[in-house]
Amino acid sequence: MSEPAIKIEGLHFSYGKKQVLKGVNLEVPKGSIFGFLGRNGTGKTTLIKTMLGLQKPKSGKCLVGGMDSFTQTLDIRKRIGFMAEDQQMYGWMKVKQIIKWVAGFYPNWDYEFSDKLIVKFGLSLDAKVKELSKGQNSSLALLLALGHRPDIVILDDPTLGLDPIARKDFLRHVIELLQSDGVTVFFSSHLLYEIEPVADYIAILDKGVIVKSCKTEELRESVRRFILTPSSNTNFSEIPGILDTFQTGNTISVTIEDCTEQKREKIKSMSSNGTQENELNLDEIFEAYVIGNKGLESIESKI
Amino acid sequence: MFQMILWKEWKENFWKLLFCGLVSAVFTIMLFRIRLIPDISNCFLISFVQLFVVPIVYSLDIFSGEMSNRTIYFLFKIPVPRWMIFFSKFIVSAVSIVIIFIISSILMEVMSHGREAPVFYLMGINMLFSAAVLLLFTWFCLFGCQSRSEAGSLAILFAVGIGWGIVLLWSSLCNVTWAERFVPFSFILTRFREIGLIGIIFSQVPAFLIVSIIACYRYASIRRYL
Amino acid sequence: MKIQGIIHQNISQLKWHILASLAVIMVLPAEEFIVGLKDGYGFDIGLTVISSIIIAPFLAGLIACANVQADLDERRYIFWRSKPAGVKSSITLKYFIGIVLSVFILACPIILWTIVSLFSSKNLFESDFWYIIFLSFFFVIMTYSLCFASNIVVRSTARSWLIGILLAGFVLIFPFFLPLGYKDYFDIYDSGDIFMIIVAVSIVFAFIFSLFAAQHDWHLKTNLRRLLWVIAGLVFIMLMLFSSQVANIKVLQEKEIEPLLVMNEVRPIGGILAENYNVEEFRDYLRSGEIIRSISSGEGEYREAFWEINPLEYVGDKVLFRLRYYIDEVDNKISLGEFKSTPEEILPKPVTDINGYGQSTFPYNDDRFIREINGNLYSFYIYTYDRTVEAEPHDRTIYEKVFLRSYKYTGHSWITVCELDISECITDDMINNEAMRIIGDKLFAFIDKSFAEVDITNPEDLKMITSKVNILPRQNWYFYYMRNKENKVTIPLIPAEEIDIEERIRLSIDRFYHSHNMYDLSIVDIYNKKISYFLIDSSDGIARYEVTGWNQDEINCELKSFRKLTMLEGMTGAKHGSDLFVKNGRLYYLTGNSLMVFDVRSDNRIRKLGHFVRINYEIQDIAVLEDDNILLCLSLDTESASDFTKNPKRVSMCLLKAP
Repeated sequence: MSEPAIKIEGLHFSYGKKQVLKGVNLEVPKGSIFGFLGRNGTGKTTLIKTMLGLQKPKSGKCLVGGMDSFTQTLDIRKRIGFMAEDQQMYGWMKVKQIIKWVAGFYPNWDYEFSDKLIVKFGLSLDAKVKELSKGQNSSLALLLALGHRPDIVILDDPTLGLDPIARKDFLRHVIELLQSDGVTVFFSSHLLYEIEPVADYIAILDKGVIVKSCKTEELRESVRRFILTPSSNTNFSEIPGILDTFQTGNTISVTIEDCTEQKREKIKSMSSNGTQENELNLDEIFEAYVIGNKGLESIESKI
Repeated sequence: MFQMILWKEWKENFWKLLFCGLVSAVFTIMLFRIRLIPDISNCFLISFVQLFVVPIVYSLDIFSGEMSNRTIYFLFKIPVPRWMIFFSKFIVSAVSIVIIFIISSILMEVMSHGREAPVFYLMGINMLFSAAVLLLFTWFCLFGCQSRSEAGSLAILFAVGIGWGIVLLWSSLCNVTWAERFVPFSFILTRFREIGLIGIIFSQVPAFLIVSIIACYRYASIRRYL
Repeated sequence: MKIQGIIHQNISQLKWHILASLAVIMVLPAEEFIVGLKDGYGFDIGLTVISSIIIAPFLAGLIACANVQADLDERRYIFWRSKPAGVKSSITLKYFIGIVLSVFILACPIILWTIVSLFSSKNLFESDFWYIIFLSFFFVIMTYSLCFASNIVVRSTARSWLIGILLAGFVLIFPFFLPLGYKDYFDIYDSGDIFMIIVAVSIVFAFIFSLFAAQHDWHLKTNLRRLLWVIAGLVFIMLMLFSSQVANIKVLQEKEIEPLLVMNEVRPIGGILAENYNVEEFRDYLRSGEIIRSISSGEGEYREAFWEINPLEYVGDKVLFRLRYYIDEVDNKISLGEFKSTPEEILPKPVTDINGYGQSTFPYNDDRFIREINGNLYSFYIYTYDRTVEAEPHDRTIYEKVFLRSYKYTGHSWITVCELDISECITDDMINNEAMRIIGDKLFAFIDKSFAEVDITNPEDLKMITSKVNILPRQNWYFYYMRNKENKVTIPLIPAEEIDIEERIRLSIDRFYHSHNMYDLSIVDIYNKKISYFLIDSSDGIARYEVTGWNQDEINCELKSFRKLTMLEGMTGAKHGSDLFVKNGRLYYLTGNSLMVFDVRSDNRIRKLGHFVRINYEIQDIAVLEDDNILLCLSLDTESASDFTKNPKRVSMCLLKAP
C-alpha cells in the first residue's frame, strides 16, 4: 500500500488545562473518501485545525501529503482544499472578485474548471458574497476549495446549517466532482446518514481519542447486537470488545465489535434460551461507540 | 501574492481613510472658518481630535473584525504566511494614517494661509501628532493583534495610551530623558525641543521598527485564534 | 422570582469587571497612600482622588455595558426571555445592582481618603471638595444610565460604551442649546439646579427608555462603519449648535496695517545704563513697553529700531490711532478720519534739560495722556529728574525735581504751554513710581507715597490745589494681583474731600492696586450704588471684591465671588503680561494673545461673554469703542515664531463685535 494521504501519530492538544486531543492516531489512505465522525465538542475541528497547521500540537506528529503540518504549513495549504464549517467569506467582495482574489494565491489554479463550476452551481458573477443564500454560499466555498485541483480535500462539517435539499445538492456535487479523480476527501460531520452512502472509510472520535477507524463495510459487518435472556453463567467480562449493554425486562441486548465466530459461540453459551443476532446501521453503531456503557457491572450484579 | 492581500486590506479599510479624512477636514474647515472653540489654539484641537479618533477607528476592528465576521478561518487557509497577513493589515493602516495626516496638514496650511501662524508651524505640529498616532497604533498592534472583540481592542488601546502616559509622566517628573525619547507622546509636548529632532529620529524609528517586527512575530506565533 | 439568586448571578458575572475597575481606580490613591506611609509625611491623597473621580464615570459606563451585555447578548437573550421573569422587574433589578456596584467603585478611593484624612487630622469640611464628590456621584450615575440604555439598544460592549460616553458628553453641554442665554461654562455650575435637573432628567429618561427598549426588544443591528458615520454626523450637528451658543467673539473686520518703525534709543527704568548691558535683557524691557524715542545719541546709550506698540489712544470718548487719525466706525467697519500730526511730533520735547541728571517721564513715552479741554487737545506728563550718589553699600538715586507739564496741540506739533513744579511731593526714600488721573477739572498726580491735586480748568495755567506728602502706603508692584487670597481688604481712602465719594473710592482702589494705566482705565465698577473691583489671582482666576463700607481713612472690601479659569482658558497666554480693566460693566481680561470679556453686572457673578484667541499673535493694544465693540491691535509674535519663520513684523487691526 502506498503512503497514506494523511497520517497522524500520537497527537495531543490542549487549550490551557483542558485536554482536547489525547493521543490521536489516524491514517487516511490515498484516494479514499474518509468520513470523520464525532459529537460536538469532541475535538473534530481542533484536529482539522491542527492538520492545517493553524495550531501547534502539544506533542505528536501530523503529516498531510507527507509534509509536517506545522513546519510546512504553506506547502500543505497549497496542496489541499479546505472548507470550514459555516464558512464566512468577505461579504463586500463580488463573486468574481473573490474567485480572482483566491485564485491569485494558487499558482496552479484551474480557471476552466472553476468557470465550469460557476455554471454548474448557478452562481452569478456580479452578485456580492453577502447577498448569496446559504446554499450558494457553501457552493462558492466549495468552488474556492477545489479550484486549484487539490489532491487532498478537507471538508469540516460543510453542510452545517443547510436545509435538507441544499445539503443533498451539496453532497451530490462533492461526490460527482471528487470521486472520479482519485482525490482524497476528508469529510467531518456529526450526521451519519450524510456520510454513510459516501464514505469508504470511517473514523469515530470520542473524548479526544479515535475509538474506531476502518472501512465502512468492515464496520458494518463487524458490529453486531445480540439479544439474550441471561442465565447463571452469564459473565460479560470474559468477552472483549463489548460496546453497549442494555436490559429490558429479563432480556439483555449486547453490542459487540469485531464479531467473530468465537465470540458468537461464547454469547450463545451464556444465554438460557438462544440468542437473536441483529445487524446495525451506522447510526446505531456510532451510538454504541460513543455513548455505549461498555458492559455495565450493574447488570451483572442484578443477575 | 502580497499585493493581493494588500488589495483586500485596502478595499476593506478604505472607508476608515474616508471617514477620518472627512472628519478631520470638516473639523479643520469649521475651526478656521467659524472659530468653533475659542479657548484653545485651533491646530492643537484638531490634532487632539485626530489623536483620539484615528487610533480608535483604526484599531477597533482591524484584527478583531476578522474574528467577529468569522472570516479569519477563510483568511488563514489561504497559502500565505501569517506575518504577511499581519503586515498587510499593519502597512495599510499605517499608510492610511500617514495619508490622513498629510491631507489634514496641507489643509491646515492652506486654511491658515500664514495668517494664523507662521508658515509650516501648524503643519509641523500636525506631523508630530501623526508620528505619535502612528507609534501608538504600532504599540496597539503589538498587544492588540490577538484581541477577539472590539471591546478588547478598545481596552488594549486605552491601556497602551495610558501606559505611555504614565511612562511619560514618570520620565519627565524624574527627568529620565532616555525613557522620554521612546514615548510617542513626548512628540506632542514641548520636551521634544530638548531632545532634538535627530534624537527623536534615532530613538523612535528603531523603536517603531522593533515594535512592529515583534508584533509581526507575535501575530505569526499566536496559537489560539480560532 | 428569587431576588437573591438574580443578585448573586449578576454580581458573579461582573466580578472580573469590578475587580479590574477597582484596580484602575485605586492604583493611584493606594500608591500615594503607601508612599505617604513610608515617607511619613503627607497622607494627603486628595489630588489622586480627583484623578479617580475623573476615571469613575468611564468605569461606570463599562460596568453598565458589561452588565447588560451579559444577559442581553444575542445568544443569551432568548434563554433569558424564556424564563418566567418579568422584563421590567428584572431590568430594574439589574439596573440598580449596577448602580450600587459603580457607586461602590467610586466610593472606595473616597473612603480611603476619608480614613487617611482622619488619621492625619485634617478638617475635611473646610474645602468645597464635598460638593465635587457629590457631583461626581451624580455624574457616575448619569454615565451609567446612559451606557445602560445604549447597550440595551446596541448590544455590543465597545460600541455602546462609546455611544454612552458621547451621550454623557452631550448632556453636559446640553444646557447651551437651551434658550437660557448660557455662554460661560460656569453659568451651569453656578446655577446648579438647572444643571442638576437636566442630569436627573437624563437619568430617569435613560432608565425608562431602557425598560421600554428591553420590553419591546428594540435593538439595532449595527455595523461599525455605519455607526461611526452616524456618530460623526451627530457630533457635527452638535458642534454647529454648540458653536452658535458658546462665547466666541466675532471678528467684524480685519485690516492689515503698516507697521510703524521708529528708531528708538532705549534706556532702562531710572535712566541710567548699566555697564556691560545685555542686549537680550533689553529686549524684555522693549516688550514691557519701556521705550524712549531717540533724542540724542549720547555715550552709553543704545539706539534700536523698534515697532510701535501702543497705537491706540483714548481722547475722551474718541479713539485716536497713532495720534494721526480718528477712528470712525460705520456699519461695523472702521475707517480712519484725518487728524493731522506727523509721527515725529508726537512726543513733546522737554523744556528744561538739566545736565547731569537722569530724566524719566510718566506716562512712558509711547503711552500718552491726552484730553480735549475747551476744544483743544492737551497732553500731560510728569517729569522726574534724578541723580545718582555713590554710597555704601549701594549707589543711591536721589530725586531732585518733579514737574507736571502740559502740552497743547497746535495742529502741526505739540508745544509746552505750562510747567508746574511739584517737587514738594518728593520724599527721602522715593522711588520712581507715578500715576495720574483726571477727575472733572482736577488732575491727580501720584508720586510714590505723595500726591498733588492740580486744577486744570485752564491747562495753560496749571494751579496747584493741594499736595499731601508721604501719606499713602507704597504701591504694590504686582499689578492687579490678589494677595494671599484675603477675604477682607482695607484700602486707604485718598484724602481728596472735594470730589464725589464714588470717584474717590475708585481713585483709591485703582491707585492701591497700581494701575499703571489708570489715567485711562479702571478696575472698579460702580453700578446700582454698588462698588466692586476685580483682581487676578495667581492661580488662574478672577476675584470680585465689593466695597462694604468706608470711613474717613479706609475703605472696607470683601471678597464676593471668584471665577476660576477653566483649564482651556488657562492654557492661552502668559499671566505676567495680563491686563485687566472694566468698562461699561464689562470686564476685559487680556493675557498675551487672548482676550476674555466678562459680564460683571448681572447678579454678583462673573460670567464670560466672549473669548478671542490668536495663536502666535500678541495683543499690542486694545480700545473699547462707544458701542462696546472692541478694537485690537495685533502683531505677529516674532520672538516665539522666529524658530519657524523670518517673517517681517505683521501688524493688523481687528474690529471685534461686542460679545
